[in-house]
Amino acid sequence: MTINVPPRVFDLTPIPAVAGIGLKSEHFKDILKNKPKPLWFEVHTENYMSDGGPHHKRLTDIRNDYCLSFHGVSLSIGSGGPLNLSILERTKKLINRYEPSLVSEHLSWSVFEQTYFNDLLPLPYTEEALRMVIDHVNQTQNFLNRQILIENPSTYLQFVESTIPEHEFFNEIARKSGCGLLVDVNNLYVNGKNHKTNIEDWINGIDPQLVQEIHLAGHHVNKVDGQEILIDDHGSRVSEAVWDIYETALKHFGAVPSLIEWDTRLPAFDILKAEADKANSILTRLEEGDMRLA
Amino acid sequence: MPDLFTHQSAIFASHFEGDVKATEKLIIPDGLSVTQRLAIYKNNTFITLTEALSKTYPVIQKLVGSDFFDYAAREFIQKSPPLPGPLSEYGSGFADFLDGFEAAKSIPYLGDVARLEWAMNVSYHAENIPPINAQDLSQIPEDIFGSACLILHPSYQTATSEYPVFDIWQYNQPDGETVEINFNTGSNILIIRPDERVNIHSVNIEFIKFLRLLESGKNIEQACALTEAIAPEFDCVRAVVELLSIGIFSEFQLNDRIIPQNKYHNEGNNHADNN
Repeated sequence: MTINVPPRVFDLTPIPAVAGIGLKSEHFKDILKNKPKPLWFEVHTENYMSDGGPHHKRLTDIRNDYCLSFHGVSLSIGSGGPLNLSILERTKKLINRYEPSLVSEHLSWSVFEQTYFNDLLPLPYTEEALRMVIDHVNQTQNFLNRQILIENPSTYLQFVESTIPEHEFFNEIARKSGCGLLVDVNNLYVNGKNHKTNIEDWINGIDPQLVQEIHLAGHHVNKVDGQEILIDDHGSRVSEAVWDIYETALKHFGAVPSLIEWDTRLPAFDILKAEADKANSILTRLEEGDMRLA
Repeated sequence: MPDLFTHQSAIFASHFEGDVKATEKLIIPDGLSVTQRLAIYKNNTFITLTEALSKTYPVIQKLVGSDFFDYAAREFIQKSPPLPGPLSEYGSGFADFLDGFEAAKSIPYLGDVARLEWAMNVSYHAENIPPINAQDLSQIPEDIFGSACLILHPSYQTATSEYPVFDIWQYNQPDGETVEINFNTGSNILIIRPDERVNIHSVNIEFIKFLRLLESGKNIEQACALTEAIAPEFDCVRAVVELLSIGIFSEFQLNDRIIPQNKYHNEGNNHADNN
């Protein structure tokens, strides 16, 4: 196994440990008119892969005032087959164009041979999958010439084959490839409910130094055959239970940039800003020492 | 235990080939059936891809209604799932699919409307470049005007049909005017996004022939002569003026020199985004 730690990108403004918001075209006008601060924005990398379009002009304007994070959904780091070079090339082109402070992807797969599922499918946590993911993260970081972050997925099933606890799987990927971690605390809650896993054990099991970003989002409670299944649909406010997990996570990981994700049933920008303000007040409390680790 | 590739091929088969057999041994049921668990993922794939198609093909959706659209989209996704990449690039084959879709046979123009919507989608995502105008062209000395080549804007697309696709599209806009549609007429459409909005223009077929000649590298004089030879009534000077006014050209070329849109040309490398 190759151990290859690419240099961190130091020549960019790092995102401060404040809240950010997932950028939606519906909110371009509001943001450019009112320029709310402090704030940063995250976009889905694929949404900007086309050569042009009005959304590129808006993103250029927003980039003049804010730090950006590029969050990919189609690289399919967990594929059993090779990575798609065209997605890597297009990601690199965007990185050169917009110089984002963070670049991230998911611990999942979404491509089989040439078919794209447009979904984040879970991996069996096996030694083979771990080797494959580390190789793909290495390849990605070498190609992009920068560090990426890998996010924990929400899942609706578990595999018979899995032998490695998820948090150990994450620690290993980051230690062997030099990537950072993006911890989605809503996904932790969704998985905790769906698979009756212990969330605190997961958080305490992660090496805090590896975590560079947190995601916060809403979920939907679904019923299948009378059994509750939580779906990570990014379509509502962050639930109180997830805010509690967020506090627990910050106590363990320290203050890191924290993103409000809202992708379906999109509300007015003010609602997202209010969620971001709530995250900021928790971050401020942490920095003032009220939440310092015992 | 299967290797990772075999494991993922089983899940692929359950999604796109309806074969769940190989997944049974992979997944812990935990109170539900394996099929129910996989259905959560499969539904997400089909629902989000249908949404992506409905964003690209709003007029098709309006013409056939949401239920029929969802049905057609599901059949299409099953047959032609996307390649890895942005969702805005998914669905180029939808028009051809609709042409051959038995259930939509009673609406023969559906495929051509879809071709127009796809061309508009491509135009929307093309490179951002300000078009040139008549004033830019006036830089060309009169004696060599005919030898200039006009370069088509990256957002330029065309759509032609034996059906009145232009009127059908107009009629089905949210703020569309009530137009009387004559189903005995065809349509020749220019699609262009000079700035923010994708515009469509109904033109005579000679305009499209003229533009295709320019696109193939013919200079103004050659393209005019060849178009006038097949359509003597074609007024080339007027056509160039009209085409300039709708922003069809991004630059002109004299011999080997490319003259860009000087008046917009900013310092720095991202001029396309700063206009």
